[in-house]
Amino acid sequence: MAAKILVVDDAAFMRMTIKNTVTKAGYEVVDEAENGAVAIKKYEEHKPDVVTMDITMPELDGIGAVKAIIAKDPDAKIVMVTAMGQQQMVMEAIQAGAKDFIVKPFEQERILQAIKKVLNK
Amino acid sequence: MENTVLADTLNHFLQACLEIINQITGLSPDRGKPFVKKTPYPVHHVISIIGITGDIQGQVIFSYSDKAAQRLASAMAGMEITAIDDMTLSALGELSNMVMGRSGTLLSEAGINVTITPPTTLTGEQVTVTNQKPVICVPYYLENDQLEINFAIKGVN
Repeated sequence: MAAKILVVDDAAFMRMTIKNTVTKAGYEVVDEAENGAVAIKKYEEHKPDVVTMDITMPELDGIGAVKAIIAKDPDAKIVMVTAMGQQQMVMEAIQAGAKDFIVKPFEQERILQAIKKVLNK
Repeated sequence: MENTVLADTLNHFLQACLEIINQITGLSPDRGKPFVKKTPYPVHHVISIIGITGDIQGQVIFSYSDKAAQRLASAMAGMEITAIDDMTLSALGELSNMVMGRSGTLLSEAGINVTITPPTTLTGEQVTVTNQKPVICVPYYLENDQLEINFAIKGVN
């Protein structure tokens, strides 16, 4: 059975890009979310195997969403996919519970490697 | 902001702009001469506004002509885009977001810490923008197609 992915990003274009990339690789995108608050609800609804999570989003940012999801499911596998590559941001995300951190723009292979890596853990 | 500090700060943004546009589109726009704009000022048909806070505060307004918008969005999507629709606007908002994200990384490496807001991208005819601060405009050219980055920022004492 294909691993289930939840794609979280405020930009419809980026959600489409990530969805196309992971779908071509054989994963199933179970849903999308445009901000952290919706991401939390979608996570509870679908219990995806992996979440790709942007940081800079309205309503609730990605770091806040990671903390909330991890608080309910410490085994959640979340890969940050964000334009913000500062060291401080990386540390905050990992401390919040994210398993990997990808800086946009990224090669398609990078996100696929990250998903494969967290699924194999 | 002193002139030399401002110039150094702007150079981080401009470096990020060229890096990101080239990396995701393969295009290398030519940079025009920066100049100061009085506010309010007209902008192109498509604009993307990103707020910035922290050691630098203000807004950065990306302004795209229709042709530049279509060209950049086409390169990002890997297919020809001829309409300025919601997905095109989203692509350009994301382009602006990545430029600012990369800028933030370069600035942090120089000891300047900023955070950015999600982009607001819109399109309209005869739009003018009013900022409370003087605006420095940096024009870019993709052959005959133009985009501008307008900096309404302060900080970095």
